[in-house]
Amino acid sequence: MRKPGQFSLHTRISVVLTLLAASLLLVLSSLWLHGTRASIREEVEAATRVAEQWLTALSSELGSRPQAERVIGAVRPLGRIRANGLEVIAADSAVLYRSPAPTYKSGRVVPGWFATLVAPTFEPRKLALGDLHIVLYPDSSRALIDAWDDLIEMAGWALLLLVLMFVGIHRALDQALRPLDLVMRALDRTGHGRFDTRLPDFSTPELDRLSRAFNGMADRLAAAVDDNVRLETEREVSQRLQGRLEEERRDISRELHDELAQGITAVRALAGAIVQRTQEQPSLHVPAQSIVAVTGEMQEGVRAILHRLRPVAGAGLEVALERLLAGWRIQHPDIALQTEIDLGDRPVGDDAAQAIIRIVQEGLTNVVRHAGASRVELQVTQRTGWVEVSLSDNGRGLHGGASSQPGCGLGLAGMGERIAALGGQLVLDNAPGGGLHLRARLPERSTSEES
Amino acid sequence: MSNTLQGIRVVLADDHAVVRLGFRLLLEGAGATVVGESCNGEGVVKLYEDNKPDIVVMDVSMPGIGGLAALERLLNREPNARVLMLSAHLDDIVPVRALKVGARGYLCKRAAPEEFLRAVGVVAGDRRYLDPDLAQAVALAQLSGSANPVDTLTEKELAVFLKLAEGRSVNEVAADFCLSPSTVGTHLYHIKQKLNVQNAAELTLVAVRNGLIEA
Repeated sequence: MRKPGQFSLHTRISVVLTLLAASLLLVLSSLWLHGTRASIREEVEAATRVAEQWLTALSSELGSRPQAERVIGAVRPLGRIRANGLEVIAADSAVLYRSPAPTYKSGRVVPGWFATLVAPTFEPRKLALGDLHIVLYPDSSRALIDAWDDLIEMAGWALLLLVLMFVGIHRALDQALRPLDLVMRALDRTGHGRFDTRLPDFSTPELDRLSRAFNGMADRLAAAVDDNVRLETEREVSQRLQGRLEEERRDISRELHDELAQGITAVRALAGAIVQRTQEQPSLHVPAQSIVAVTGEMQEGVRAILHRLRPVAGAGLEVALERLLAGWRIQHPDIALQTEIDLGDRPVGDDAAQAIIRIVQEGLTNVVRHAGASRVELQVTQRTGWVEVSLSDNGRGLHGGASSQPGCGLGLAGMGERIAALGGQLVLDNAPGGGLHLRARLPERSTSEES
Repeated sequence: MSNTLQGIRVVLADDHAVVRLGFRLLLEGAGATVVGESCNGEGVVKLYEDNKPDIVVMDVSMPGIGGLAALERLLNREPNARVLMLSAHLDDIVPVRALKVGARGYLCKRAAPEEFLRAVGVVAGDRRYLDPDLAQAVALAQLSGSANPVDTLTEKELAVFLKLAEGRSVNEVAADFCLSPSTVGTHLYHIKQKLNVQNAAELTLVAVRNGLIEA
């Protein structure tokens, strides 16, 4: 996950904090340098002044024109006078005596940059003693060495402090941000479809909020997935039911046709034969005629049932609708049925056609059973890829005891599922003038039929 | 007892024995003579040749080659045979086919006994007869032209199609029609091409939707 060459957040934060601390230390050390420089100047200045006074006192002791040997004899035992080098110079500028090198931390020098930063500059002091000159050279090099040693020691401590600080910050951040790893892993798992992933409570409030937000999101995700699965299952079940229903219809059709219809034909023909032969026997003739008549009705009945059961081809929708409506009109002369069927040139898909026929069938059956209506209006229109069915009556409408009656609702509910499975909608409400208004809208061909 | 069909000799073909019995009694009641009965299409040709009847009354759907193929076969040999086809269906495709092939009449089986006898009389008199219930559908089918892909099938293909749609295998159909399975396979290929179907189930569906068979 981490790109190469990129440091982790912990390391970066630790480095930044450590650098901040280091720059603070640098500022402090520059202040210290300043102070050190001033105190060295003061110290050397003071030492030089004392040495000067001492030399003045000495010169008055030696008289105004002392011999060189006496002077040298007086100063030689002194060695260096309090951090001052000392030279005795003759009138011809020859150096008669030079004090020895300092013995304190002898042989050591500080780096040139440090000396330029810290060392104060002094003019040599000259003291005329007859022909001789005594020159005092103020020397801050020993003080510098002390300062340098102090600096090295402090720098060591500071470095140690910074290292400890870096390690400490790194550790602390590691500890505090450890939950982020968990969050990352949880997101990864969820991304891979494991919606049962949840985060624990964290002690850091911000991360705890994050954890709660994540868990809430995961809960909703899981619920949505469950919903989808449930809907999918329901759809599958209803499709299977529908399939079983169609299969059942086919079986019933076949049996009606092969067994019942043939049987009725046979009975009718036989009864007809009896009618032929019993002209003079009314006691047989009349019942045989009745059998012929009744079997005719039975055949009509079977035919009507077969029609109801027969799947409708999309191309034959209009014809099928007209047949259905004509049959209904004959069966229910007391209900005025107004129809307006306007199907376009494009054929309606077979599934949609069947659904439309069933919607109209169920709707009309419903009107007869429950509405108590005297007028029904039906519109079937096809436009812009959709077929719309609108069926309204002037009956009792949605309210009233209709739904408590057996058989009602079930057909309509089944219809709703069927329409939904085809990607359409079914709406039932009250018509403006009372009565029920059924509106269904479904795509003229379902996507599965497209090929 | 009326004797409107006096002296008319009839061959009856229907797979349903009691239906045959009923029709025979009806015909005999009207004075006709049933000279031969067959429960399938194959037997009709031989019965015709043996008896030279005035009329053949034949059901469309029968086991074996079925009524339509038997009709074609019979008319190939006996172009003057007068055949009244019977059907339990009310579609337009089969009647149009049957009439095109050369049947003189077409009647629905649910017609009243008198209508049946009248139809037999008309066809035996060498006139044409079409069930009034079917007349409109047939006329409309003629007017609307060949919108239905089933109409583009040849007679042979339609016969094979109907058998296959009933669920019979290619080999069974080949045996029914005394054809080689590869010939039936060729028919099947053309049928699938013309009807744009891929498999047997879709084939059956087309047949059901056109009312050619009850599913």
